[in-house]
Amino acid sequence: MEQSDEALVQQAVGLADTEAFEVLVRRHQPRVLLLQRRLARDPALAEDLCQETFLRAWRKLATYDRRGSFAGWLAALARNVFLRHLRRTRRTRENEVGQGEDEVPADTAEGAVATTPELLDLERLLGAVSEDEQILLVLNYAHGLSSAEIAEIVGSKEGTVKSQIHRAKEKIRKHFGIGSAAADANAG
Amino acid sequence: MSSRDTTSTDPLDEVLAQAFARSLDDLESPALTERVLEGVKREQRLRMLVTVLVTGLALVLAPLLLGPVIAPVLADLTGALALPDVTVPAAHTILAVAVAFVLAPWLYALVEDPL
Repeated sequence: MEQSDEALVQQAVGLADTEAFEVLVRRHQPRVLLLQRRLARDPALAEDLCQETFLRAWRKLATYDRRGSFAGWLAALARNVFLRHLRRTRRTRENEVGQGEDEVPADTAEGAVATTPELLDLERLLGAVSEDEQILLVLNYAHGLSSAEIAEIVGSKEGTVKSQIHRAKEKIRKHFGIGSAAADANAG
Repeated sequence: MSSRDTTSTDPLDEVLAQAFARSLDDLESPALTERVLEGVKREQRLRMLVTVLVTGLALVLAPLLLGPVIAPVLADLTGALALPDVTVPAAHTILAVAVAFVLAPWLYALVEDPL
């Protein structure tokens, strides 16, 4: 039987068991990489940030308090790793160029989206919504997080997240002409 | 783990769920996982090395530093103890101890992340 994330964390922390952590890494690596790709919008950088996320997870594993899901804790950590990278990049650029906060790093600029063939389907779907909405959909669908958990991660209110996700889905629905359950029921 | 409503009959939910599932399958990367695990093991070895180093230094150098403080107190307390004269450590020993104490937190900071 597959061990739960929580049991594996307990094993990894209590016994300093790298094998338990290895199972966690294998289980969550695609989700974390997907989130970092949406955040960083650069496949190579996303891999580095994904690696950094798991290294920090290993260091901070004992601080996971089981109040929420491990997937949520990891997603929050991944976002922190990205934001930290962004701050560091901005600081370096400001020091080098002397430009202010308004500068958008090239690797997060519009149009630099990684359109690798394996992501084309998802890319097309997510292309219909804003960057912020993309992150919410990734956290909701790929990480399986609830609106409350997502709200905690992005520092927003649960109701706001719910309506943002709804709005994003409506955009996709309209863009690709996908019917709603209610519409289908009426049609049938 | 999943807190999302998986019983939804909305066709869009189905489309999104399938697209995400396909992407997650494609993003599975054994090479990346190996890189992560190598990093974890390397860090664990480094942490162990630092712990051994710092503990060893502390065990060797602490008596040198604390000796001159403890010895007179013990001598006063027991009075009759015929302790040898307290040897004041040489300047370079004190310097080495000071450097070790200053470096210890820095060495730990190398492997301890403040995030």
